[in-house]
Amino acid sequence: MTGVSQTVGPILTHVVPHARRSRWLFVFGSATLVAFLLQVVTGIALSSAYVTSSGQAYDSLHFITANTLGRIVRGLHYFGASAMIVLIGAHTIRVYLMGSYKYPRQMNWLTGTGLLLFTLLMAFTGQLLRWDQTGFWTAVVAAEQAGKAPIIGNWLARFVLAGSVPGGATLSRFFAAHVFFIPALMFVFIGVHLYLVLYNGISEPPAAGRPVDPRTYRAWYHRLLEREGLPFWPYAAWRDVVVGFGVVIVIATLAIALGPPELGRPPDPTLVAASPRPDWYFLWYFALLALMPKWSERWVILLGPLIFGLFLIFLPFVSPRGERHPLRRPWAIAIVICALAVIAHYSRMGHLAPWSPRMDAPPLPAEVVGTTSGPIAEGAQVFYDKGCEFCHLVSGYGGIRGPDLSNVGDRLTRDQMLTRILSGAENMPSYAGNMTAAEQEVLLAFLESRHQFQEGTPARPAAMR
Amino acid sequence: MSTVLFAVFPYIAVITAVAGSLGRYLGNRYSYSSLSTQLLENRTLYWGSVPWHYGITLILLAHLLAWLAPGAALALLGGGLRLFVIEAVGLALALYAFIGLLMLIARRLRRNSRVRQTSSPMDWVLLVVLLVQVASGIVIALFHRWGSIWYLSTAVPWLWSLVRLQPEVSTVAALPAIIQLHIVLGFLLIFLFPVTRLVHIAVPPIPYLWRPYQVVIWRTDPGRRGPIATGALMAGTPPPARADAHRPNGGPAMASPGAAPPAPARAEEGEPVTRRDFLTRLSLAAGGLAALIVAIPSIAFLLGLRRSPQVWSTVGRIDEFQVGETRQVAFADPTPLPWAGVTAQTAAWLRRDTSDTFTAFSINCTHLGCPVRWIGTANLFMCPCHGGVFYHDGRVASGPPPQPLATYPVRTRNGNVEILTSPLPISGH
Amino acid sequence: MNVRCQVSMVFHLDKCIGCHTCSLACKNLWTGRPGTEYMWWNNVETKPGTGYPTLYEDQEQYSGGWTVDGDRLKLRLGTRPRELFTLAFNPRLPSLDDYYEPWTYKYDDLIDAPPGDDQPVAVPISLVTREEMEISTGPNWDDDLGGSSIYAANDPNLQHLTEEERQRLLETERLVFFYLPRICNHCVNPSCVAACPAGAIYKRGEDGIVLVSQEKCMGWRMCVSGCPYKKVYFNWATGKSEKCILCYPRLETQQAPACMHSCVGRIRYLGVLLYDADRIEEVAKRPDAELVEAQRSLILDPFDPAVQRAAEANGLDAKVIEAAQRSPVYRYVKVWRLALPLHPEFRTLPSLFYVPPLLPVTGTVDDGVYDTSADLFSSLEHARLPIRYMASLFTAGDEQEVVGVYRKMLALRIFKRAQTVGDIAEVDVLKAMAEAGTTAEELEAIYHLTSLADFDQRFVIPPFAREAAIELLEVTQAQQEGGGMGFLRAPRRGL
Repeated sequence: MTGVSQTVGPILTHVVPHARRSRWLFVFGSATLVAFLLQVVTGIALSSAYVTSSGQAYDSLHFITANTLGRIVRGLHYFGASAMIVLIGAHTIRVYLMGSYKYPRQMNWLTGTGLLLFTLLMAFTGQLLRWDQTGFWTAVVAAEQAGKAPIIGNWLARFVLAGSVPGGATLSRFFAAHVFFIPALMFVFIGVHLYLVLYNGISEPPAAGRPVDPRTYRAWYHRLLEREGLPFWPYAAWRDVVVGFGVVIVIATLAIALGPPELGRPPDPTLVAASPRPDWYFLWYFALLALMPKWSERWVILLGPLIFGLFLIFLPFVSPRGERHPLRRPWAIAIVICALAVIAHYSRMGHLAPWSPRMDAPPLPAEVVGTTSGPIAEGAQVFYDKGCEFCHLVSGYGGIRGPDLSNVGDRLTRDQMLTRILSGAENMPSYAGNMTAAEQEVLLAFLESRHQFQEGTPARPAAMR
Repeated sequence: MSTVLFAVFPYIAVITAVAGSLGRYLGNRYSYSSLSTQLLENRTLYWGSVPWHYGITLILLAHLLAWLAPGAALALLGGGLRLFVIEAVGLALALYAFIGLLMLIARRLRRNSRVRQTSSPMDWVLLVVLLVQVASGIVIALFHRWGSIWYLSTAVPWLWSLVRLQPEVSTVAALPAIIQLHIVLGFLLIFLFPVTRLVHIAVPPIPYLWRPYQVVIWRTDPGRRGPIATGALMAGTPPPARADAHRPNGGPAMASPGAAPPAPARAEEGEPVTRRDFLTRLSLAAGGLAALIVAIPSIAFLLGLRRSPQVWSTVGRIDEFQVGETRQVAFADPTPLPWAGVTAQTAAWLRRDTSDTFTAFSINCTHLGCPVRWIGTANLFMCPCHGGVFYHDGRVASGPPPQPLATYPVRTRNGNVEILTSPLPISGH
Repeated sequence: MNVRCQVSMVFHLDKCIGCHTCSLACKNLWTGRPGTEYMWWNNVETKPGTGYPTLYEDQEQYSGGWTVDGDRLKLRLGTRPRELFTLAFNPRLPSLDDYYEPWTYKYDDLIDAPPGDDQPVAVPISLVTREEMEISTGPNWDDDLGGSSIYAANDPNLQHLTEEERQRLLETERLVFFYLPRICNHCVNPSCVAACPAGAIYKRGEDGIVLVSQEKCMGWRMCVSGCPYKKVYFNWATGKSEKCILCYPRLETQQAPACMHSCVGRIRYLGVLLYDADRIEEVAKRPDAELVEAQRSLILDPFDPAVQRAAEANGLDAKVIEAAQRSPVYRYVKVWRLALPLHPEFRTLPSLFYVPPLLPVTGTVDDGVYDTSADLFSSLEHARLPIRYMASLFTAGDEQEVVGVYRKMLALRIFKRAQTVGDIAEVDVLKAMAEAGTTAEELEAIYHLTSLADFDQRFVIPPFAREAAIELLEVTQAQQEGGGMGFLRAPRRGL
């Protein structure tokens, strides 16, 4: 026997519990690892062509994308990131629901928490390295969020930007974090995580009514392995291989079929017509920032991630023993469902972005206005010019932040409308002093003419996205 | 020099004090003690320790309270008589403490004194620094009168600027040398805190006032106390003792149960303990130094931030702008990095308010920094990210932004409009 | 009922020969380190005498222990804020001179002295200053000085005697003394624990041993004042307080404490007691005259099923209850009522008990003739060392309690003499037994445990969790040079 096989052999063939019904749930961890390795390989390939310069990164990305293989590698890296987020989320939920973080696997959970955090940081910095307009403004938004921290906020924001203004030094900073610093930590954490999996053994499927007792657990677990354990290789490993293969195939298919995300406009701060949006995995957070009450924002930005992190860190200390089966832990199920519901809901909201003024909305067509001259048509023009249409929907045209005004003439009187226009609201500017009396007149005339059943109004979907 | 003394050294001192004391507390709590010598000598001690402790505590409290609540202190010192009384009391307390300190030093100097034998070098360093410090305080009180007033306008603002991490040394840099000495020695004492017996200040026994008289510690916590592990000894395996519950003390085990560190490192047979200690310390020191040599420049380089100089940058001729019109202008970072490319640019919204006044708004929404757009017909700035809206003068019209749009300084020179290049505005600051 | 277990000891003073072997065993094991030279966790003092440290029993001077103020039990040291105000200077602290200044000799001078006319001598040097010193006092300086006018005459317990009695004790032919070995009492209501501002002293729940956490101790020194027996000592070299640990590493490995193990006279008995922790405060507040009886009532009967149930409910193992049933201490203290606590009026409820000495009480010297007294009963009233003295030491002044103990001891003596020598009439034997309220079986049992018992009957403890005891004993062999027994890391003084 060589030294290598002496080392690898026992690791491969160590005995794992025989999971029956839930055996396909134990694959997410290895699948995440597969996605991570894919990211490493594609990341190295990309970094060998990427130029870490605020001025040239954008051009080098165009260069990469112009090459067919480069385009595929970028696609692999993009969908690999998405896959990793999905898989590490699934893995976390599986471990949480099955109570696998309990004794003696608390350290497994803590290192896993670290890996979850690092994965999110990688996703954030990676999206930023796609140094187009969105990437640039993401850096600014990151600095502004850091700036919300008490006392050191200002300094922290400057640290993120590597200077007093975003510029040449900013991108290098994120590049170093994305390519060296965070991956180095991830390698260490993955090493410890895997070692702990071997050292503590993979958790057995939970059974209701069989709580974990730290005093007896290890002895019990070893008896379980002796009784009905199976060698990891190949009896459990084949499922990991199959799922890992599946993950790679799906990523590759998407990368080839859909390709990498389109590059936006160049990162020029003077092109102010920018609409930065995060990638899908942070959309829910983006939505949350837009929709939460104004007063709570500073606290959510500061405390939200902190509380989430502390929850993950303290979880194994707070409940190191007791029942593992989800049916005996209804709160765990409730927490997972709530979290998923919140993320799903806000992701959808982030996608719709109802709060965002639709500055690209076209003026109302004549068939909607119902006339091409006279006060109503002039009012429609004012409705467009003053930005009302960016937020208010009229017969399927315009934004959706404010109330739908398609039939406002049925709901409000002239005075009520005037009051609203002039005084504004929390989410509507006050137009007092911003409109001539003549403009008011025609606008009110236009609004009064909005009734439910208007002839000749074509049915058009509201979506103007 | 004054930057080093008043802007750098205080931080070093406080960080050393906090980290050092904490490290000593966690790593070698055994070394925390008041190191009383009362058992060895208690006649002179009475005349030394009592005046010293009471005098210096009250004086320190006065320094501290005036720093924490300068407004209240100023109000208190308002009247001439009150000021006089407070200064007189302070001076009396200082002399009281000074006499105590002299007694404490004298009893250590006395020949054949038992206390002298137990004095460590750090004790002497500490006593000398304290003596100079109290003496300088008394000299200041005598020759630079009304310190309780000028303290509020010199040292206090400086201390607060230190707290805010924006050191502003001008108020103390102008003070007479003796006062500067007093300040520096004060921070020197903080610096020395973790390596002297001063650490006993960090563990005041205040909880004694409300804790129950009796302290009983169980191997297992009393709520769920299992049977005493009687079988353990016979079975020859250690009991599954809740070691932490029963081991409040760790470290040296004398007269403290279970204090043994779990895996005692054993000296090689016959090897003197001091040699092992020496080698341990040598390795730790060398390793730590090597790590510092690598880490300090790396981290300092990383933390060193590029500050662009602020210069006036021309953005156009005055007559290019109409009164009441808001237009986008751009200006470049005055010292851009060669590879910054287009990111060296900054945009701004310039509004000509009257024929000779301009306002330049930052394009960064005060919510999270996204670029706002000027909608000329609506007379509004709108932000695409989270729907913030601002009026033409920068005030918040609606949406999440907490503050009006930031502005850049603008001026007109030689028929040109000039904007002062400035750092990226960070809202909330 | 909150049943707890307490490791406890009985000293049979009749058997103590004052050899100090216990003190030396302890010294060699635990207090050979710098700063501890002056400490004698175990000391044997001559009574009447001033004790160690000098006059430690005088609480007017040292303010140790508790007092009852109306309904409240208070530390004699004063209120807690008052205690904190005296941290900088504790006016109740004994100084090193109240113990003694430890010294050694310059032995090298004996060997290295150059040739000369005079014999070389080894001059004493102080172990504190390392300078030459004049020895004016030392440990057990008053050893055997029973009738001395500077030591015995100043014994605080003599206050309760008449002037005549006091004078008689100083007469050469009438002087009398006995030995009182003392270690920490591991009290049930310890005042050192209560006085510690840092919360460093604690009582172990499982066995009642009182310990000083060397890490938490900050050298505030209140325990030294708080303990009325002055059995907490301040280590001047490390700035920490130390005290008798009842050799807990030995106990946990089923070995007797060093002092007991080495006792030549086999005067010590060690066992566990069960007591009701809920009643501690109530008992400690009783009037002086009731204290001994109240403390006895605190000790629970391990044969009582109700006690057994409560003990088990409280997590005490069956082996603990079994050990309590076989405990020699339980029999001496509770069943036979022979052993008494030292100075119960300090109200710390000490866990060590003393069987008072009989011999000096019954023997007298008249005109140079030592008379062991024909009439053994009347001799009690004419005791050579007055009953009042013993009452001051062991029963807070309650003479009846002492008389009861002595009557039983005398009955035993008469009973056995009638058995073995046969010169006492049976009616006298029965009369003595009736006065002492005892029976032949009980006397036989007392006789057996007092005179014939082997080690396993004198030393009965349950198996305790042994913590790191084994490691301590192993490692300290290599460590004694640098630190001393029990230290895994050299106890280096802080800066």
